[in-house]
Amino acid sequence: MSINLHSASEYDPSYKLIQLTPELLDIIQDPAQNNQLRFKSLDEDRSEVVLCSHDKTWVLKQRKHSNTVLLMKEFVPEEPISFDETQLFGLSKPYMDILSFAKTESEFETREAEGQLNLDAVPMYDGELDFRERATKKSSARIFETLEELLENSPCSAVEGVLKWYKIGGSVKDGVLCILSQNFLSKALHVLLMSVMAESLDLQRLQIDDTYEAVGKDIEDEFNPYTREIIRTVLNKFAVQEQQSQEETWRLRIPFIAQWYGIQALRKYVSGTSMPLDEFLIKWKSLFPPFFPCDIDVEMLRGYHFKPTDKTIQYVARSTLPTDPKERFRVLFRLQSQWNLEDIKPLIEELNIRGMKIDSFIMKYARRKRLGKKTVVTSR
Amino acid sequence: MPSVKIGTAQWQKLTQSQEKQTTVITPLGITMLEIQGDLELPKDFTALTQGDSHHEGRFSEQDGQNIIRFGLLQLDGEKATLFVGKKQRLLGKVTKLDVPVGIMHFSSSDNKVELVDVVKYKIIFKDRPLPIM
Repeated sequence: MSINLHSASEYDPSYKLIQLTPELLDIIQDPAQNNQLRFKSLDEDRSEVVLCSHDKTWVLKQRKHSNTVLLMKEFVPEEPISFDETQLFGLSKPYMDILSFAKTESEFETREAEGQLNLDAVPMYDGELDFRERATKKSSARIFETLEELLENSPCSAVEGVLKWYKIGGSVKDGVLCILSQNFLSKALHVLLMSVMAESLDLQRLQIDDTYEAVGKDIEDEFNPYTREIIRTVLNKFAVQEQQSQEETWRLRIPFIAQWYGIQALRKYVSGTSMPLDEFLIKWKSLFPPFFPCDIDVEMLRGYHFKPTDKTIQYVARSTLPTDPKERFRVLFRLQSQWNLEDIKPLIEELNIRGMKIDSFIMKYARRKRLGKKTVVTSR
Repeated sequence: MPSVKIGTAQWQKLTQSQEKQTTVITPLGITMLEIQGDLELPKDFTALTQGDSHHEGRFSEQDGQNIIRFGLLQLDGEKATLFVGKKQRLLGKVTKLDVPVGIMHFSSSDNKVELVDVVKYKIIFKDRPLPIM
């Protein structure tokens, strides 16, 4: 049994090959996820192209090769094709004809990656009065007005984009899509907590309208920057939206809020100078609104502090540490000669770009030993 | 941001049956053939078409374009033999792709991308050509 092979005089260049990982294969086979995949890129020619589903992102990498890869399709000849039997080289008569219609010189590899928001055109809001005017005057690029617009213009899937947006404190102010500054976000959180506690609202079931009204009561007669959207942003960052309930309600993430205040306390009281641990805990507690129900523990602040001595604490900003692993370990051991494994982990994790086991990664640059139940890390 | 949806509905409709693919040819009639090296085909088909004799049957017309018959393929289980022209013979095999590939058609006229087919197997010829004896 043989097959006749034909070729078109010119190949159609509009066909491309894309590797389909099992996950991508599942998506394209599922009718419920019809037409959900899309290619996105930041601009027409230069930037990377990504492939996005509803909730995941893949980076595409073009792998070129020098082989002849033909895509061929079955066809029924318009006229019967006949030729001498001598040209069959002893094979039986062809039962099928296939025609190469495309020749591909590369394949696109797909690698799952974290989708990114394109925040170039998103200004920072710090509670200014005339925000829209300033934002439109300052940025030469276009400004976005809705989250949908931003997602449309970002190399990421919709679900990833929304989660990231909540995490960074993204909001809308005066019709301009913006990110709340750390300072403003802290103030807004503080005002919100004070107000909802004063109104005795249920911290496990907060609603936008009630919360907005509660905050509004405290700032009558003054310029009130805390709009519904800002309240929504604060809740999206510091609370979890309950899925089951019919109304939109949010449950405050108390430990996360406690940590947020703790980081503020570290920055405020022990940046560049150390303080006895007990004293720091009192200072930390003093930052919360009165009677705010939460427990605090210095372990919540892992990744943000070091202990110059056993009983003192000092702030360390990860962004100021060297990005070279060897250097970073050296600096960390200069700050503190012996670390608990759990304490040092968040300070070096981000440098483990090859995805090694964290223990093996630490062993590459430092020494590990067990002290009773604890594992400690020291310099080599 | 330039973005484009990938149409998969048509492919899904056409390949609804869950039967396992048993040949290298996909249920939609597409085959991937790989040769490590170049496949030399004549450049100008039109001129050659005139001189094509009936017993050679190399050239024909399909959907308004000239096509050339460049070889014969024989499949025997996993083994594949490709006869190119009158003189060369290639030995190859049918292999499963490590990662299946989707064939996407990018239409520049209406800026659409359509998934044409998914290929899981290919016929690969890795060795040097042998003479036909």
